Amino acid sequence: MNPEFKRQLWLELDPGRVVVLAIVLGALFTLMGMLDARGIPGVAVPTVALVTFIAMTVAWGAHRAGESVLAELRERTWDTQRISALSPTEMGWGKLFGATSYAWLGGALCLAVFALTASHLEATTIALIVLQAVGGAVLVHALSLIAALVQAGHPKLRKGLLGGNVAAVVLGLAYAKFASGLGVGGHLVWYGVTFDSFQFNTVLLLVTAGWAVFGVQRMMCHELQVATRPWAWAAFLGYLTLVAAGSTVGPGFGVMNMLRPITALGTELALVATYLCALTVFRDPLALRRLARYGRAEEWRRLLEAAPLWLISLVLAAGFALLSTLLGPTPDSRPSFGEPLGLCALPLLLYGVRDVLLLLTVGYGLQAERAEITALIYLGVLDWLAPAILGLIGFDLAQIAVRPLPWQHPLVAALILLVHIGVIGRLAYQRYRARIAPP
Amino acid sequence: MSPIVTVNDLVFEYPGLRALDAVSFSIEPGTITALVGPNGAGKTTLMRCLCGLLRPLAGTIVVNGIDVIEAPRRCHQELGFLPDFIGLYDSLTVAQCLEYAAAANGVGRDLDSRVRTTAERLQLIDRLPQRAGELSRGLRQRLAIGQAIIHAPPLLILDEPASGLDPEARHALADLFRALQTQGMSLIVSSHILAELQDYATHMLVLRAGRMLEHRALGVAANTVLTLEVLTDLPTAAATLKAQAHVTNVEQDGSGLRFSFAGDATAQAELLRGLIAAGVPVVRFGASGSTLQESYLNSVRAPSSPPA
Repeated sequence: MNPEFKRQLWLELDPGRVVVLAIVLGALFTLMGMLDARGIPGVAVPTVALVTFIAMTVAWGAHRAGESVLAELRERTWDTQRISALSPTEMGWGKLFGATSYAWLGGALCLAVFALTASHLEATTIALIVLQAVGGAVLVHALSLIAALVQAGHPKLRKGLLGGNVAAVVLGLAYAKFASGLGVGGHLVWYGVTFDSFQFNTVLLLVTAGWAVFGVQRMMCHELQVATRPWAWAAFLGYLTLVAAGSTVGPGFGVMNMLRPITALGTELALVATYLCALTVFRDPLALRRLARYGRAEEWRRLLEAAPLWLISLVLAAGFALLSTLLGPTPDSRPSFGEPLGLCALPLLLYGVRDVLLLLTVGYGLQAERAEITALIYLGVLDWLAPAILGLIGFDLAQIAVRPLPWQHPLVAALILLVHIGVIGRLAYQRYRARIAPP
Repeated sequence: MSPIVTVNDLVFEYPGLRALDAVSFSIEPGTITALVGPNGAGKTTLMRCLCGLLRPLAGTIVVNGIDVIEAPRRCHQELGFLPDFIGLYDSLTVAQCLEYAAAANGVGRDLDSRVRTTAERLQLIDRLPQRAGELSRGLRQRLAIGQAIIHAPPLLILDEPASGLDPEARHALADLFRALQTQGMSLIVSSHILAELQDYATHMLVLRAGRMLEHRALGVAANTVLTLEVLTDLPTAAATLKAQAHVTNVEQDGSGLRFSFAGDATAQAELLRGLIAAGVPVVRFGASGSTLQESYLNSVRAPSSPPA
């Protein structure tokens, strides 16, 4: 048996706790069954079983999944685990399913009660609901574990070890909200093909949960110093793009019309990923130093292995933006999400480059204790506050110089943003030189 | 016999600080290397790089033929590591802690017998059913060492292993290290308690400001430390001594002088003859009882120069 999974079972499945769980859930469902039999509204046993599943397996399980790493950091046992010979896959699934084993035990009881009491539903519907419940719980657990691993990999983030617990609750609530929206019945069109929305969403949830589990393995590779190339992240962004683009592509569209929303969504999603990744891990000047060193030594494999995710995302965004620009057409007004970008893709990409450089400038600062907040404030001032004030007092040109709108004059916007990039890039380079050790 | 550890041009940086600067050395199997240096010298960083816990900026590390940077997980089967702060799973029993450590480090069969053998070696056999959280500081240290050696790695790396232990426990620890060495294990031990390292270390590796100052077998000193006592006029004697060949690091030591001497026995006799011929009133001349501490101080006080 996987040693990490076994260790988690030792901790989680204490016989006393298992008995208590069975008694509490048994009592709860008996009480609900009795109330249900008396016709009291709002206490249908299947509904209570699903709500209990979400509370126990999704929310509590997410907490336990995050804690499987955060507790190691608190107890200073994480290095002992990292020095073991367990592979990232063994460590990942051992924690993901071992730390949540108690929650899963309770969840299994809840789902069993649901399946046995939901006699008004067809067997297929029950099976789909159970699959959604399991897939959703795995997804939320995996995301919580990924959040904890991000914390583990960045010493300054470790100060907020409660963050993982908060994240677990938020993820649990988000899932409950999401699950409540997955109604039975209805259809959707995806790449011109009509699907039963309930079945489609179930499959989508399960595939996404699979990606999240894969993400745990990749994050664990990073923590255990096992070098990986960034194809997985690129493939995940590609998956998101293709899934999102499916609803914007109708039947009878040509190849070009199919590629336009795909490249537009690819640009937009890759830029969102750039911001998210850069905000999480932008404060390590050695990441770029390592890249520069590998580049000089022409160690391309290591360069790829060391490339930060924000850089991979930005390169992908650049690729999609280039295709978007070539495919056109350029919109006259602000394009909505997934609409063709044309030349607008170029200034959008340059916004991403500028803002990453701004984050790096703040992150490389010597007093970078509150770098995330500081960076967000700078971005807020640059992108919203200053343009709004300049607009209100009638300084329209100054407003354009601070925040050029990509869809008004894309090339002018690109030129202005290149000037921004030049100024902020120089500042970022100076900060970088000031912080790195002498070569 | 090929080295158990080979390090070449290792560079590690923290933001604004080069913690390891072109460090190169190799360690022979069956030795105990005392890793010493002032605070901030890079000892812990070096150990964590050796274990694959930190990825260096440049350089290579090979442990028992395995490239640590390329295959860190495989390399972990070849080494055990005791970090400076011992973290144990307080809710697990001693037996469970040892079983987990063995299984997580690739011991596939005979887990029970491996647990019992390790517990016996560390005198923890009576504690197997006890929870780790209930153990005293010394017993926790033993359990942590047990976790590090249960898979019988050829290399054991320990960061300040005796910190916080009472004298009796330290003595037992030294005995354990010698026993492990006798069984063919190589050890790298970092500690500030040099007198204790002297009890069992066979080699010394000195780091200062991220650079390796010296790495040699103890007892095979590059410089012999000698003492000279004179009847009168210590300053003149010191000046005369400094002018002699092979003499460095002359310093006053009570009523006499201590200095490093790089020559052989014939050169020593020549030195004595030269001092007497120069009119130095020699009362006593001989080798100082060279300790690890003296060797270490000689190394760190010497002008910085790249190791040969």
